[in-house]
Amino acid sequence: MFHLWLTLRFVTSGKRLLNLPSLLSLTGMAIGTACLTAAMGVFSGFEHSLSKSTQDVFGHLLIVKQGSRIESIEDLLRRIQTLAPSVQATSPFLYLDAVLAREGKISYIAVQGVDQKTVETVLNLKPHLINGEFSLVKAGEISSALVGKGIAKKFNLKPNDSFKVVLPNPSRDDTSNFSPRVREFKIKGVLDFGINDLNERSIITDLGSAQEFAQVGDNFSGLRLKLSDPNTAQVIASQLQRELGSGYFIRHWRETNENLFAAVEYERPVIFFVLLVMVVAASFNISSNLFVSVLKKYSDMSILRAMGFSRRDIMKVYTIQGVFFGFLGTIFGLVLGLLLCAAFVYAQKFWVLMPADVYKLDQIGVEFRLQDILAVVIASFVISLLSTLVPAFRGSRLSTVEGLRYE
Amino acid sequence: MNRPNSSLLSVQCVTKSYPMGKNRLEILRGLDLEIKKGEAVCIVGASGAGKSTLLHILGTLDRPTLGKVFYDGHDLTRQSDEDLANFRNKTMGFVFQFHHLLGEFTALENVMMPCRISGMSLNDSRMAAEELLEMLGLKERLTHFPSELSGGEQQRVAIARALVRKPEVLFADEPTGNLDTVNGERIQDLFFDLKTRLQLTLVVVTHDQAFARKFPRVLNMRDGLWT
Repeated sequence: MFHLWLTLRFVTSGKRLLNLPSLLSLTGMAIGTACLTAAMGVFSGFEHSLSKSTQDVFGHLLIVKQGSRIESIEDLLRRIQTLAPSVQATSPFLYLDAVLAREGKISYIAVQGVDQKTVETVLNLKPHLINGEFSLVKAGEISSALVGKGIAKKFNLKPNDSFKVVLPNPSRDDTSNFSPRVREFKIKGVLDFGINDLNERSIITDLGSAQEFAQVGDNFSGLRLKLSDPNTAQVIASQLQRELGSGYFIRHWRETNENLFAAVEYERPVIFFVLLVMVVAASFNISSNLFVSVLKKYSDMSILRAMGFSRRDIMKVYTIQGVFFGFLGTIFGLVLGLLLCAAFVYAQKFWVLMPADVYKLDQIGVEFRLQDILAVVIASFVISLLSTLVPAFRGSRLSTVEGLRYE
Repeated sequence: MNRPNSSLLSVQCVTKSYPMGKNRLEILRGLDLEIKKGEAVCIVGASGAGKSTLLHILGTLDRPTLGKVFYDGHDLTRQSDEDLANFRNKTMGFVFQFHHLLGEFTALENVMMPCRISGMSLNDSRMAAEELLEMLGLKERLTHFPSELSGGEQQRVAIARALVRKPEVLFADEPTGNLDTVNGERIQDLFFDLKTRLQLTLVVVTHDQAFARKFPRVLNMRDGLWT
């Protein structure tokens, strides 16, 4: 504690802390740390936004019967519950590829019929509503629908507007022939799925309307599952696939954007180490500043030696001094990094910083994970500690007698 | 190696030389010296005679190139840097021509410093430092920084700092060299007064012949040898 007190008095006495070389070394460290913090925050924010949006609109697991529609839901549910007790909820859905045509515009869309009673136990769509109401209750004969914001924008659709969907239905006798079915839907609400592809193509309606539209009776395409722990989805998917057999197509939520999740996973450490080079460069400032300090304090350290300071004590003082500036730089850097992230989130309201067609998301949050912050702090601390060693060692080796010769 | 001896501090055949190109610059050329406990010794000589170098070696601030330094029979040249640092803190006090007070600390904190280095508690260190500063007439200057003190006051603070750990030996290298005549004489008298009151062994290096004449034992040096 004495060494800490002594060093802090040396560096904080009078205007010494504010001298230019100290400020420059501190600023360099702060900028390096800020970039590292902000980059990790944006990376984690992207991953978190993508994970959350995917789980909200996809569920944790998707089970589809290959080649035909599922007829006996009770039997399938019983098997799933036996094989995977961590499944908390299930909801059936019917998926239809269709075309939306309105006012001369045409677009390929995906109509998803969901079970109104169970859909919210598996998906979390309500927070994604940006206009209208979250309801799929039929208005008379006309089915209600929730549409992605991309579709709403493209076809200029608002709540209570109607639109028609065309379902190409292949003829049983001649597969080259289609007999289109048309159904009218009324928009109840507009959703921002958080994922660009879904915003551009997805329409959600109630399961009964979709079944009527496709004329499939009570059949449905598959089930969406919610697990007690989404991180176990991959393991449970493999387990279910093994037990249910190749007749079922099973996907977990990460697979929907596997490339992006993998990219984040691999790029995060790469970016971390690339930006860490900035911190290393900044640490040279600490080092050179400490060399100046060694010369300035030569006489003081010599008299401390006469009073009983050992070379190791001197090394401690210089090391604490370097680490003190490194620590201050790291703290300022963290604060600056948080401000940069806040600015990034704010700027997304006015400018397109994340092209949605590339990154799937048009807006992301910023997330600070404890392990990221710890990695930044520990890395900066270790680098600043290493940067002090050479000047501190040099300072401790200087001749005491020479330092006492002059004032 | 222990050396049975009645002297408190002694050097045996001490040489000190520095490399200078292909040759060596010899500062001390095989000196012997014995200082008894409670003795007051003054070392005089022209600039470059090697007085300060000898004082630094006696005070363990420097090591001889050859030869031995003994304190109370113990060979100091064999001890580690860490052990010598502890030894200095406990046994020796130093006063230099330039006061070498730490500018960032008050007079009181400067005097407390050797106690804090030794691991003494803050309160005990403060009490010891205050007592000594009061004894040296600096009671009103405790919270003053060195830059706020006169030359004489600065040197008295430096003396208090050298004595706060109650050392057995006080070394002084030109202690009055940077003071005017009046302040210089006051400091000289103070040294003898303190030597008697605290039963110190005093080793002083000076140019000042008048100061040297006050010592019972004066040693003359020239070119690294006694004359």
